[in-house]
Amino acid sequence: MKQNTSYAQKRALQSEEYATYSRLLYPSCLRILANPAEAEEAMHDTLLHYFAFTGHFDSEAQKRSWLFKVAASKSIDRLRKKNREPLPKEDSFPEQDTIGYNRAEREIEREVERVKRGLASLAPGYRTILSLFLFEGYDFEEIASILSLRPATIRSQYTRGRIKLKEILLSSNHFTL
Amino acid sequence: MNELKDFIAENRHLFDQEQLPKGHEERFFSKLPQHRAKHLMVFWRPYQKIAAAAVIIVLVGLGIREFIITSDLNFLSARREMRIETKMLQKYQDQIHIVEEEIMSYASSIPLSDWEQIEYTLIHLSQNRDLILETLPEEMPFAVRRTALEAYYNQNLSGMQQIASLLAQNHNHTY
Repeated sequence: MKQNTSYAQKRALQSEEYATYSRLLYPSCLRILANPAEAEEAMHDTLLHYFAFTGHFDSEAQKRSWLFKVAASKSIDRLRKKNREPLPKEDSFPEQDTIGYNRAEREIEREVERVKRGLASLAPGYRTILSLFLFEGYDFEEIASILSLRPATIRSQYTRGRIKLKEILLSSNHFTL
Repeated sequence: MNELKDFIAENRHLFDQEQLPKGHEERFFSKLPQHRAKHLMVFWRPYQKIAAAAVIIVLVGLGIREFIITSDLNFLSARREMRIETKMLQKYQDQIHIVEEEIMSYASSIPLSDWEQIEYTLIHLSQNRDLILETLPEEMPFAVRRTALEAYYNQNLSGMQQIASLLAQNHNHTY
């Protein structure tokens, strides 16, 4: 009985942690992989790694930082292993419930979708660097370390990616960059 | 780019509002190592009852026998009894050790959570092994004590061998 109780408690805790961290990590993986199924796999890999991890975190912030770093690494590994699947068409984005939304809010949501699509349509290399820099808050040195590349290469790839993104967003009359 | 960076920072919650694919949680938990050791515990519980019943039957049966042959048992000195008992325990421990070694050899192929359960069972067996010596009443005649211990040791050994056999089957199935 002791074993079963302990196992049930352990599984309940894992379920609780999964609910919290899956929501945090999935968008991060999706930005890099631009594919929901692949992003789910990368998020799962990250949390499997976390549940098997026997080390100790001093704080929640440290734990989250570790999780995001592992998620980025798992996503990049998947990106390197598999070819990118075609992106879904704009029509396939889920319909938003507009009840209770005012015009300005809807416009912001559209802008957000355009930026997401702009990023998703970039080549995987540019997308990864821009995602890590713009969303995850890594600097060029850190991104170079994660991707095992030179910082100068990252800076140059970032500049090119930014120009590509600028073209995509300007074509829909958004952001002067 | 500052405008974009600012826009992302201001609306970060919208960028992070991605709906997870349906069934993601079930798929994740199916990937976690399963609680296979539960089967071992299920197996262990009925086995314990059988072992206890066997000991009681042997004790009752030999109690009657002991009543008839008490005079013969008086010839055995306490020292000799102890020597026989020690020898019996040693033989049993050697056999147990061999099975434990076999069980340990599967440790690396078993998920950590399952291994904890197996270790618990082994510790439980080891503790009971010593406990039975303290549980048997001192006034019990040696012949009865010896038969009871033999029955108990053999049942434990048989249980350990079945655990090893289950692990061997699981190992062969996995690899």
